Amino acid sequence: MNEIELTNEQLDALRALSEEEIEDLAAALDDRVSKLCAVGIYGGLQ
Amino acid sequence: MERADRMSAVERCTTLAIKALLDERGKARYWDGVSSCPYATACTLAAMVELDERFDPAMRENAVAYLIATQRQNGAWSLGVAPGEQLPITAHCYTALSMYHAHFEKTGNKVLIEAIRRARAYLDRAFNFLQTFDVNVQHYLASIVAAHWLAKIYNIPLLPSALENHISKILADYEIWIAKSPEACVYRTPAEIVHLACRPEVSRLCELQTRQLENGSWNLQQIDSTSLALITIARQHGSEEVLRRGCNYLRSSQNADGGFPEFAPAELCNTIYVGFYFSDVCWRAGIALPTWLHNMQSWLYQSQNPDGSMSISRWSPGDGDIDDTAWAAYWLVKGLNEDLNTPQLHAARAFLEHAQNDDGGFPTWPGRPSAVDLTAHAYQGLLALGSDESILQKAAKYLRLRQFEDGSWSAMWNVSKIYGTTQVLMALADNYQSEPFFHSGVNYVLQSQGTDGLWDTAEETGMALYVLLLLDSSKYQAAIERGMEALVDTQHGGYWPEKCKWKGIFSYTTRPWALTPPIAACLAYCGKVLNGTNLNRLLDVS
Repeated sequence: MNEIELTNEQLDALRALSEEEIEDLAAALDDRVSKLCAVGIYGGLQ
Repeated sequence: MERADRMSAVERCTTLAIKALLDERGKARYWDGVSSCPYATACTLAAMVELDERFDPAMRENAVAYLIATQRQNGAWSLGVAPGEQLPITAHCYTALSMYHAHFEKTGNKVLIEAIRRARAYLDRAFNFLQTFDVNVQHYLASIVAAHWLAKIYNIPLLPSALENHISKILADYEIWIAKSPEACVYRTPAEIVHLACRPEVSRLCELQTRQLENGSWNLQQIDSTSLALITIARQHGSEEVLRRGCNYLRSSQNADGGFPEFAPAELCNTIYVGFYFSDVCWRAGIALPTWLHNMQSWLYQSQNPDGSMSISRWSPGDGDIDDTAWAAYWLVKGLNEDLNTPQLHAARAFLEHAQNDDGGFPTWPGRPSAVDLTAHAYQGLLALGSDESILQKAAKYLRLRQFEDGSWSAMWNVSKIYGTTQVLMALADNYQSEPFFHSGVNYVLQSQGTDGLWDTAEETGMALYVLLLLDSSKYQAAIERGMEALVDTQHGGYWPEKCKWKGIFSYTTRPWALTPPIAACLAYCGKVLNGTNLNRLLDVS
């Protein structure tokens, strides 16, 4: 999962949201976004 | 706890809950209340702003107060049940409050302005996320087409320009779809109505007006469709009579908390669910239904549609669905001991049988994709109606193939896997309880019990306990005792803390749905485990 790299803009967009908000949005989108969000939550943001 | 004390505590809990359930009935002695939801309230507030002179200002003020009271800490609104719901619900609430503010509150209302500011901040964060990740969001943004249209009319900035194209594309796709098959456009969704609103055409306006239901609403009494239809008709100078009836419907739909439900009334849907559960309890216990359900027999028959189906409401006769038809049939056969050869039950059976899809499953409405919960209910209804073995076996096979590895099933209309799993187990208990897949389902239920004895909510706890009590309850005694103790301990004044898991923006989050499964579990426990309780006495509280 951590092999995927997020851009700085993507990290900033994720940081602006709470974990719950990210999960809510990601749940409505496709698998690729869910994976990116998971990287954000469990990788890039920690 | 001593047996006598336990019996007394469970009986008291049961009596209080039944009293609470009966208190929830309306004047006509059935359950017609539906709870409010922010999305529906926002849509109605928009209509009340647009059609301002037709509504009492207090109605708007109460709707605004409801929206402010239900805003979450993060500035968004949600029901906490559907994935991705925060953005679409918040977009509608933000737009409606901004419309109200622009139209009526020019002097400034600090609480309202703060609510709008917080909503805007959430939307900015969410839209920025969608843009930055460069994902295909067209499908998702289809859920905010109505908010986008209303925002445009009132000059409220909603979407960042980079996302605007998606909305144009959605409406353009509708144009192509409608041009190809105009008969398919039945103004079912907000997007279809908005499409008409954006591209006025007299024949389409007439078509929309003719689709108004007898009680003044549109499309399953849905508030969003009704509000958008009324705004469209008013802006296109449509029929005054249609507007009058539509506004009357909205006026009659506001709840005491100031909010609006997504659809109302849902008197058949609510009442049939109660009748279904109690019929199963009483039939298995070998006792008669209480008079407050027994006396509804003629009302039930009068509510049946000509095609044999039942709808969520008598106001929506063209929308007979599988759940309501199956539950009503079960109530009539098991609860009221009706003759299977009556024309009404023949018609109900034919409606259900014809709705079976090629995959063996059943949909919500005929012709739609199959789902687990609908198939479980159809199976149970058709089993009671004496349907052919081949139909039942196909349905059971469909259910077996949809079981997850952990033994659970997912439902279409409730996010709880306990709901999905218990509905399948209830349906298949009489014919399949010795099968390994059935044991796996029961194990899932057992393993899902929390350390506090509950299955998250009291509603789910009731569903889980009721299934365990249907089976050989001595095998699951420890789980049953812990669950019953938790139910008794967490009840206050006949009610349990509520947490809605019914799906989507459709807010049939009514108390009868939350109360019925725990009561069924309490009654089954009193009858099977305590074995000495007079169930008729508990049920006869009216």
